[in-house]
Amino acid sequence: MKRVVFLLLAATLAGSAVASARTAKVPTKTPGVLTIAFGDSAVGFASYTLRGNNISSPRGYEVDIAKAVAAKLGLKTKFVYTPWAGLFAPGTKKFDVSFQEATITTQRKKTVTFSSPYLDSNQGVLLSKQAKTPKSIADLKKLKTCAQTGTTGLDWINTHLHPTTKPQVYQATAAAFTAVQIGKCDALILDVPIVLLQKKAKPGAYGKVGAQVVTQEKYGAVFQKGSALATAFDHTLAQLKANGTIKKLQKKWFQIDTASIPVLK
Amino acid sequence: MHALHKVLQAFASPQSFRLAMPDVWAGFQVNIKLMFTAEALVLVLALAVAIARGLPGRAAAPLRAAMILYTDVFRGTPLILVAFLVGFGLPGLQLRVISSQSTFVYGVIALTLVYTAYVTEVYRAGIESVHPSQRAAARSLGLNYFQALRYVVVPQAVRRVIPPLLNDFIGLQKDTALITVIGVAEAAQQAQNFSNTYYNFTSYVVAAVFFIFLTIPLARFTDHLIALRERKERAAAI
Repeated sequence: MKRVVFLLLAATLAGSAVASARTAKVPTKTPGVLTIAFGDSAVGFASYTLRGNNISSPRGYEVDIAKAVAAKLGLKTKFVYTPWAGLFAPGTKKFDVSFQEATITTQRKKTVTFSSPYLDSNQGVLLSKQAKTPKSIADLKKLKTCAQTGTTGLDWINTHLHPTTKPQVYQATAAAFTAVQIGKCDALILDVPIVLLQKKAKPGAYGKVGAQVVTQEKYGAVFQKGSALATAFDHTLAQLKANGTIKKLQKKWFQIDTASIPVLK
Repeated sequence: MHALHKVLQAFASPQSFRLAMPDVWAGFQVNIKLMFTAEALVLVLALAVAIARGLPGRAAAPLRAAMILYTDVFRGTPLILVAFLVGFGLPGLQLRVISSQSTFVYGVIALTLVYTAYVTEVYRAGIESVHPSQRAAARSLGLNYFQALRYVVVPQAVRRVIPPLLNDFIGLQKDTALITVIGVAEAAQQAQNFSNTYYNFTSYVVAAVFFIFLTIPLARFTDHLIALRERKERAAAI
């Protein structure tokens, strides 16, 4: 009997040693759980039902990547909401990793750590129903433009486009889409895949995605600056790229044709 | 020392101050415009609502009820909700004139709706504070109801409530920053854009400084008016 107890004890000890070795390998906020944050619901990337700060039944490309990485790392998943405004503010983050179609920029890298890229993107122009399709940058300049706060789209408007009237700036993606829908804004400048998928989800609400500008952006997942998790994450992401999972997921979620959208010069 | 440096760098870096100043100032001019346009409307409309609320007689009962409903609803609704309703709701109706205004106009409408409800109560308190004998005396001189209001009651009432009116004016001035949610490029938004680009919070301090510089003279002016009135009333008492 004594021996059995001893064996049991040894087994538990060994078990917990294995468990702790594993959690030490993947440093997460809650041991054994990968806390994944999404921003504003984006069709195709991560759309979900929100209750309080908890996300239930998320679906989309970013969700599938997150799940695949977590599975490979042997972690459970927990999905939470984090607003876009403030994502790149320096300091402690409440999540392990956040997917918000965030373009990797040197400026942002000063305050957060990025994963290696998981999608390429340009800036797209989503038009309102009333707006005339711009044929050139000069045409676009004359339209009432809008963007979401802190986006590369807004950056591009301010540093490259210099429109005749100041762009309208919204806190959330949803508000920017609404502005286009109700005609308060003629041209929303936001990443091509986001606007294409939104247009596909609500075709009657907007005009077309009339143009794109080549900005050659790359999306990265966001970690707290210097997060030890990033390396393990990147390693896993590389495996998923190598075995074709990422390509398969892109095919599954993005049946869109970005090449057919005219490029503005 | 290191922590202090970090704090100063994030909230009061001279370099960011200079960099953020032009944009925030451009935005702040919109705040000033919002504030004066809304305030002018509020002062007029609120007096009208206050008078309508005080109308005597059974015939005016529906009007009184409507005005009470209005003040109750808009004093109880947070400005940010009214801003969303007006700024996104009205254009969404796609009606001819109502839906084709600029975001600035929707901002003014939202501020006016909410602040008129507050200021109505201020006026009403003023009107009720005028002793009934004043009104009775005016009527006995042959002035009709509206003449009594116009020449006797309202002038006294307004003089008494100028300090609380200015107080609400200060509130209105600060709340213009909330109009950012419907996409008006005002100071708070410019500050946020700067902060989002450079990850530095000095721009918010710049905006705050603008607001403070605008309120301080107004606050001192209010103090001055109160002191003036007090002197006058004491002199009359002696």
